Amino acid sequence: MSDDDPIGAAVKLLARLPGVGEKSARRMAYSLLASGPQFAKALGDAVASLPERVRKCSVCGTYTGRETCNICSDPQRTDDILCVVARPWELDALERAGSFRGRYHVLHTLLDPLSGLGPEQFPLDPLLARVESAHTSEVIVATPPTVEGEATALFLAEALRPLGVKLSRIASGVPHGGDLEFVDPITLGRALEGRRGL
Amino acid sequence: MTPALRVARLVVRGFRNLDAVSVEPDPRANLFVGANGQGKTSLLEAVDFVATLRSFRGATRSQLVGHGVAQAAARMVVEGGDLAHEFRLTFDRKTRDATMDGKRPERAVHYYGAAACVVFHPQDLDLVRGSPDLRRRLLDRVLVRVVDGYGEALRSYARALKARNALLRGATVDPRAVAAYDPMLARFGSAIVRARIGLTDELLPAARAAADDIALSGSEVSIAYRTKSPTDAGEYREALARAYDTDRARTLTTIGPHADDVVIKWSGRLARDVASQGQTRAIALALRLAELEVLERRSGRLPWLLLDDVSSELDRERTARLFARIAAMEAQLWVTTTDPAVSALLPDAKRFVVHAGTVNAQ
Repeated sequence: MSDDDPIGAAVKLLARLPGVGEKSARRMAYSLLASGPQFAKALGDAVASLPERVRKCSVCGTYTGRETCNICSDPQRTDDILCVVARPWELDALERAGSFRGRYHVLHTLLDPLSGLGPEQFPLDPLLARVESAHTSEVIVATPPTVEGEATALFLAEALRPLGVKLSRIASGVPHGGDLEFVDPITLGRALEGRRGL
Repeated sequence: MTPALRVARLVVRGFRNLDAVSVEPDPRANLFVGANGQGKTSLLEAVDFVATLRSFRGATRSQLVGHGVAQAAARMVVEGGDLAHEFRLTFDRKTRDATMDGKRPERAVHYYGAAACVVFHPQDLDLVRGSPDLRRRLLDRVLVRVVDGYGEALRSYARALKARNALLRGATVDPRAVAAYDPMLARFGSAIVRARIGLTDELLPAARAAADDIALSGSEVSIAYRTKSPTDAGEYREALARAYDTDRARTLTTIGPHADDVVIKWSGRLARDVASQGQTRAIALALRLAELEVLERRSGRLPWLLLDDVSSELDRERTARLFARIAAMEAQLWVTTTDPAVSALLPDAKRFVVHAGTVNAQ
């Protein structure tokens, strides 16, 4: 079929990417044709080599080109604090913030029994092993403030509690420069619950 | 006087048997006539579906997408209040996309609040006699429109509940994983229960007054919200923990707003047991009128009304009284009927003929 309709085949594949509908996929395909063979070739090579050139860090699980990622091999960072995130791009976001100097652990998933990811399938053991073997004194759970993210945080807290480390959850609340009036009631309620002393 | 919300234009494609319908209703009264099975109820269902994103007939999206149609679509312009708003909706069996003024609404209350309508339909008998979810939905219809964050709380609650129940159904049950949902269920569940109790207390006097107006003794009617859930989030969480063994044995979460009901009584006894057919209809109608009044009071805008198949609903006297009550309100009316006597009660209405999935102004 793709011999007869190479554009349609490309559209079908592009539309499988997150956030790309059929309309956007079609525009991408025509844009690739219009921008000439060099660009399409470069894009194709970059995409094709991704799985070969990128792997998961053997320590924290984030994507890297090497055996261990830059963060895990950085001697300047402290092993005391471990920050648990669900996705590599959430690690990137925290790194961009620039204020965290500890280590990371990337789960690559959240507790989500409705999608077949129950407690048995959850990758808990690597995290427990890491916290036990490293000199971790505090674990920060930075999963997102969604139903799945909150459930994961509480599940992790119960699993980590016997190890005797300090446990914390990133705060959620009012964005910087935000106007209280326009903050949704759920966020505002949580910001009030999670208030701190002055 | 409260500004009245009015549909200025409605375009529907591929919704049940409505292939391509375009209606410019009158700001006040609109009458849709035609034989049964031509699409009158589907038209009102389409209007209410754009406004609530749910079918008042309990239909799924698969049932609503017309035969041989890939995607259903609707556009509705609502005037009144401040600005006109344009609602656009496309959906198929799997996906749904709803926008207001070209954007996905940031908050549920903005969307639902700007499209507030009330439906009266023959299945409303089930409000009194049917299952509790219909009565809970009556409350939720109002609350998503007037309480900021309520729609979001309902959605998060439902998600957490589904996940918790899935864990309870598993072959092996991990209590830590089950309990991981308790704080969220407690936070959202207690907020939902508090809002519903407050609304039920507000609906009661409104329903009694409405009942009096349609020749039913209002003082005989009582409604009360029945729940096992504490309204305090901390106590709620403890209650969930206490119910764990029961939940595990029954493989589902036994307490929470999903298990609540609105108890409707007539003369001190359950209305579904003692009220006659006529009384049951009148009680259901009084509840809808109360829904309308509370929506108006809380939002500051008068909803428009969709009255489906009016003649079979009420006796002649109650129909006349209902129209007299509504006529005093300036609300926009959409009435479907097969009954010429009902048409006669609305002499100034704009008339439309509904035939084989088409709607044409007469």
